[in-house]
Amino acid sequence: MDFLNIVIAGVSIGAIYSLMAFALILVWRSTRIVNFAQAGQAAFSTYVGLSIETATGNYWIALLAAVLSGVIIGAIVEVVIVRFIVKHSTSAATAAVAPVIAMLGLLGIFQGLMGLIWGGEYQAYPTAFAREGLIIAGNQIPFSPSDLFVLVVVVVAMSVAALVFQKTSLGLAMRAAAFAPEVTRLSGIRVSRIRTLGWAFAGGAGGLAGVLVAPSTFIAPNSFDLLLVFGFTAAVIGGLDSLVGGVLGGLALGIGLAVVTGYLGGSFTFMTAFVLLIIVLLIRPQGILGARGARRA
Amino acid sequence: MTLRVRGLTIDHGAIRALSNATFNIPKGSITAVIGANGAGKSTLLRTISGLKRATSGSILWDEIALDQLQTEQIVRTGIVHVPEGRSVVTELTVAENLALGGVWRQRTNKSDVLAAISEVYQLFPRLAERQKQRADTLSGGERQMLAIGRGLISRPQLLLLDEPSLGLAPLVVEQIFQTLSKLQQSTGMTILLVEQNAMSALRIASQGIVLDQGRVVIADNAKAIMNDTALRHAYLGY
Amino acid sequence: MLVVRKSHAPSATKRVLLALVIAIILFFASNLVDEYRIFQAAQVAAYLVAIISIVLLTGFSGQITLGQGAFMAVGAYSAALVVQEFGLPIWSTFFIAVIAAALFGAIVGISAARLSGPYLAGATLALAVGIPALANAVPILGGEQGLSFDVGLAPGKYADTISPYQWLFWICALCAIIAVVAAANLTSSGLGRQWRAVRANETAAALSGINPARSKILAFMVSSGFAGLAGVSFSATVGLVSPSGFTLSLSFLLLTGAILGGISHISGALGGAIIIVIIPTIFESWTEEASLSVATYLPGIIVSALLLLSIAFAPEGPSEALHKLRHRRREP
Repeated sequence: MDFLNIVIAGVSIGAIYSLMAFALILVWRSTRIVNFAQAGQAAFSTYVGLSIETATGNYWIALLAAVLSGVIIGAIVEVVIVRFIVKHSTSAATAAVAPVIAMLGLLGIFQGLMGLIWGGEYQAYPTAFAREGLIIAGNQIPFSPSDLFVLVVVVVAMSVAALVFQKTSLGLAMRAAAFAPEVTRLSGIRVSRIRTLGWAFAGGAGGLAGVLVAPSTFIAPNSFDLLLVFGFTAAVIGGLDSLVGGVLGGLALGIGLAVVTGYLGGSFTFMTAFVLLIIVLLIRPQGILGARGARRA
Repeated sequence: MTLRVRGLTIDHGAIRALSNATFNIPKGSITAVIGANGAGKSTLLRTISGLKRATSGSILWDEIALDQLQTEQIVRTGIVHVPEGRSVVTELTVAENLALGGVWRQRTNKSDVLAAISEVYQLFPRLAERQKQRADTLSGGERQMLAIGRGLISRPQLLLLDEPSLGLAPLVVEQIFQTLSKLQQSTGMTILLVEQNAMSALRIASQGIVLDQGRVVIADNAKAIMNDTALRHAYLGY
Repeated sequence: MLVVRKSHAPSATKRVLLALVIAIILFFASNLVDEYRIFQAAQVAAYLVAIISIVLLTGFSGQITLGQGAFMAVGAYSAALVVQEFGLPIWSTFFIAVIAAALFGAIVGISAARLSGPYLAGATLALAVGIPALANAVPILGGEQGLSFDVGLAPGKYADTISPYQWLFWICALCAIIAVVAAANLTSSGLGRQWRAVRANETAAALSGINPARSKILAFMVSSGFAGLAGVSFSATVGLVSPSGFTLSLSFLLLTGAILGGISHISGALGGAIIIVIIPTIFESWTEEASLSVATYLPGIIVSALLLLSIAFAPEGPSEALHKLRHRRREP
């Protein structure tokens, strides 16, 4: 297979990993928690999208519903659960792991709820665009209109996010709250509300990622675990503290995995991600763009 | 508006940081709160600004009971706390740090926020030169100016300053204190200045409060404290 | 300075004697209970060993692990492989499983001991998903079907009087008893104190002459040895070693059992194991009234909710929280 084709194939899926990494990094920066429940939130939002799509037959309304539900779920999770955990974290031995475990518990609840509401069988998620490769100059490349759509959506979403962060007061407040919460409070900004917003945005991003990835795999309550691991890997590769890094990490991961799949076959895809993660954690734990000393939480 | 502290007692775990403190901060003056390390000065400021809750006693800002409010709300009553340690957000630029001080008023009074920012640049020309630079490229003195500048954006009626001179060269300290004095005279704001550098602080202050191991030793005219050699020897170390 | 207190816990000899007594009790008890309960007891025994491995690694050594399933898989696959390729007798495979898993654990430990917090969590998460995926991809490991693992029937003359389930239970129970005794001895020994010291404050421990890195790697090694044993035990109850037996859900389930039982103590492991085996069965009796989907998913939700509540209100484990409540120690 042509190398260029492979790279192109990897870019679109890499964009989805970037979205997932974005969601994880956003939460990490604002609350210092890796939200392992993100997979469950994203999956739940995707299922909501599926229900809406089945009811209305309209892909776009479903997309909106999925993102919106992601936002709402993210906000609810922060207000109900995370605030409690953060307030009660002591210097006890389990303090460092408590948020992680709490998120895992939450993930289990989400997965159970999804099974309860929608059943455990694999279901197909519809797509708005064709999934066969585009034909350019008489050759078919492994990049379909659907892939193009994914890429465009992710680019737009990331650009909007970048704009909000860099150019608006809200973005300024969010960045400041993540870097220096006390100073931000002393500047009259309600940091707790900002945090909720951060989780809400992350939830929306996760929901979007779920809907974008759903057509290419059948969805089931557990099917987003892989997306979580890949998203986490992408975030680590790029640097857990850097949103831009996460985006780059996602693309790098997507392309890297496409290369491996193209030359070695699909069964090694997961192992490659795993090996990449371990290598990055060993050699450069702060990721490509992260700051030094970020290895320990 | 006047700040009235009555019977304020603050505990840090098992340690009593402040015992039964009672004093007034008169409007439109500079009050220096001085004393040795660990005397309870920083804790007092952190409790006024709501970062810490007192064990007992009250803090009244005119009729407003500050001990019932959240930090973010206290800022909105006109009290701004510039904590110790050159508290700037190092990952943001100078301009962004200043803008941060105005975010809470952004929607209601954008033009005044912009006016306040340009006033800060006039007050601290060094900051104007470095507008686009990241805060971590600034020197210690510049960072302190930036922290104070950020506080000023909120147009405070009461400015709480926690050891602004800490770790700075004497010349820089003088410069900052002179600026504070000028600022107070031109705006009429009240300044509560916590300092270990008692001499410099008392020189620009009209009132002094001396703390020792959590107790208010004396609250009096600043000149009187400066002239009281016995007091100075006992509690201020000079 | 590590102050050596006279421990009020039983000595090693006393523990072994106690274990023998329990073993004999179980031996006779298993004749009185119906087959299904015996099978469940075997499951509990297997999970018990797995939870102990987590208590050692996370509770004592302070290293979070989301991937015990991976270590269990390494042990189980090693055992099944040597049976398949070399025809070794079943009892030897248990030793091989422990050794293979311990070696693997040492290798993982060398990389993982440098990580902490979410990085360690993520790495062990990747391990938990990666090892089964690897097993799926490598033909000699039987792919999706896996390899069979059968502990068979009781030897010769007893085959008629002892049912296959009883035989299974005794094997699992024996593993569990050995594991508990070994773990109890380990944790009250110098090694256990070392782990606790490193977990509390690495710098201070290093200044006391402990090598933190070595201590942590050792913890991984020992923990995965236990997990390997659990893996073999577990596979014995299923009769099969396959990727689907070691999912991420299993690792989460084990962690849940460890937290619910009390992650800082070996003694909680039994409680945790019982909880995670019993809860699904509680709902089986409801299957007639509620729908099938409720029966399938509600246990998972309940267990996860318990985990969440437990870590929120009683991070050290419910038993610790009760202890604190009883003594009402007021923090200054």
